[in-house]
Amino acid sequence: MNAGTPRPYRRPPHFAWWWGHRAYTLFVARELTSIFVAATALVLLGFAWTAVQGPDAYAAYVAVMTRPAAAVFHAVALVAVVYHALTWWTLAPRAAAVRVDGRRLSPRAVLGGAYAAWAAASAVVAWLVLRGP
Amino acid sequence: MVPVPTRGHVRPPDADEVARSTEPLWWLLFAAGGTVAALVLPVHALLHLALALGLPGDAFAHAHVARLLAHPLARVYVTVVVGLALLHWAHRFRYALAEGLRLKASWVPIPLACYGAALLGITLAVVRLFFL
Amino acid sequence: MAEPTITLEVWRYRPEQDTTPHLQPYQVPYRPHWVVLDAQNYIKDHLDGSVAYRWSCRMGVCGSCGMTINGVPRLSCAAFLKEYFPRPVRVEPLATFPVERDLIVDLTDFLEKLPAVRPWIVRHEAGPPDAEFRQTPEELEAYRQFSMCINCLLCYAACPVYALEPRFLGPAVLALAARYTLDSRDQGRADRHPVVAGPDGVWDCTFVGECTTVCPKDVDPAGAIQRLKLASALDWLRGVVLPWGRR
Repeated sequence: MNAGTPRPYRRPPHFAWWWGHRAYTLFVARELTSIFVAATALVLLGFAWTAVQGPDAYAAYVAVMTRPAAAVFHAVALVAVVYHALTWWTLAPRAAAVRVDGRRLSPRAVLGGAYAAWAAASAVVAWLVLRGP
Repeated sequence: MVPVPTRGHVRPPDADEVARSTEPLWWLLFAAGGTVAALVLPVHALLHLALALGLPGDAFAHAHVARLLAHPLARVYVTVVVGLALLHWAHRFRYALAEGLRLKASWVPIPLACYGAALLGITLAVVRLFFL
Repeated sequence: MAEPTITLEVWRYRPEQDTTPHLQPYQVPYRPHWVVLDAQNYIKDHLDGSVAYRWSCRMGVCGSCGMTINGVPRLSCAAFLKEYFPRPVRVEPLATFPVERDLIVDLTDFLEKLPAVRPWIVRHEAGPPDAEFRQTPEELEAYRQFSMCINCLLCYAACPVYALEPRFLGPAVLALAARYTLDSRDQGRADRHPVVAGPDGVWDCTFVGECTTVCPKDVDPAGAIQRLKLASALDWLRGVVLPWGRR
């Protein structure tokens, strides 16, 4: 009946492999935040770009960026880039075994340092932008 | 060097192929971009939202923004943040696209489109902010 | 009073008689201290001797009994029935590997890839004559975690990259490459580099991280791969900035 060894049975991956498991869904969400990273950067570029062009171009851009639909976009983008930042600070340090004085820093210490840097950078940017005329 | 023991379909790459590979470059840019994005994009997104929700307009008045950007470091800052953020997106999106379309992430059209788009954005930003 | 029972739904595939697999339910006594492996052994001993599965140490050190239990890659000797009772327990073969029979998967792919990273101490100079290599506790600590791998391959079952791209070397192979490269006695970093940093190596990994989550020995293969990425990237950078320094 069998000529030689039977071939092993292969199970192809499910089309929606990322939907059933929470970990995979969060992974895909994390990867897709990169779209909002690019979008937020482009919005920022838009402010700089039109500001350099002149008051009229800038005013037109601000008018678009303050519409209700734009406000919704900014809110979604904010959630996305914050999620990017939160996942980044837990993941990125694992690429290095951080050592201080020969002893390896605990993940909690590294995370604390990352949050401190994040808060400091945000404070500096906010202060520079909001200083007013 | 002793030849790599392999069986089956494992194909040991030759050293030149690995040396020519630009993967490390894109990964380093992705890592730098992810770090910069994590540091400053949340506060920028918050400022954009605040403006749309009616934050007192002085901070976003053209005169103030133009004066901020008059300083060359400000333009460097915008270019670096935007550039690295776009390269971060390009690398991550390249792999997400490949996974989604069930293609190899090294199939030339995909990285070409992603990194190409990012580099185009950077070029336009540099030209606008430094040369016009 | 009748002893409580629990249902095990076992994935069956016998190539000589089945063209497609199916789930076969078995009623097994529920004992709170039992693991899924105990239930499988009960089935084999009392209900259906034809069920085929691998196991050995039954204490989580041999790596033989990896399977998919209720959709999660686990060692069947480490999955307690009380985690699932009273719901049924679905036992399927380890994901991402071809199935030979019932719960037995074909691990040839992993076994072919493992030697490619030279998972042994590579020396280019002779060691200390008439003596062993000496290693400080700190030097041991640098690679110890990655040496705990029992080759159970739960990480492969959890890795979506491996599921979609079978040429990927995979978490365990790369973690073992890291284990030897980080060993102070080893001199094989350059030897492993073309395979580790080449196509199908670390650059295929998108840091999903599920390999680390399912690892029963806390090897953290995801962490090992990210460290290999950074080390390879810095090597590359050094090669670009200081090309005359290349070996």
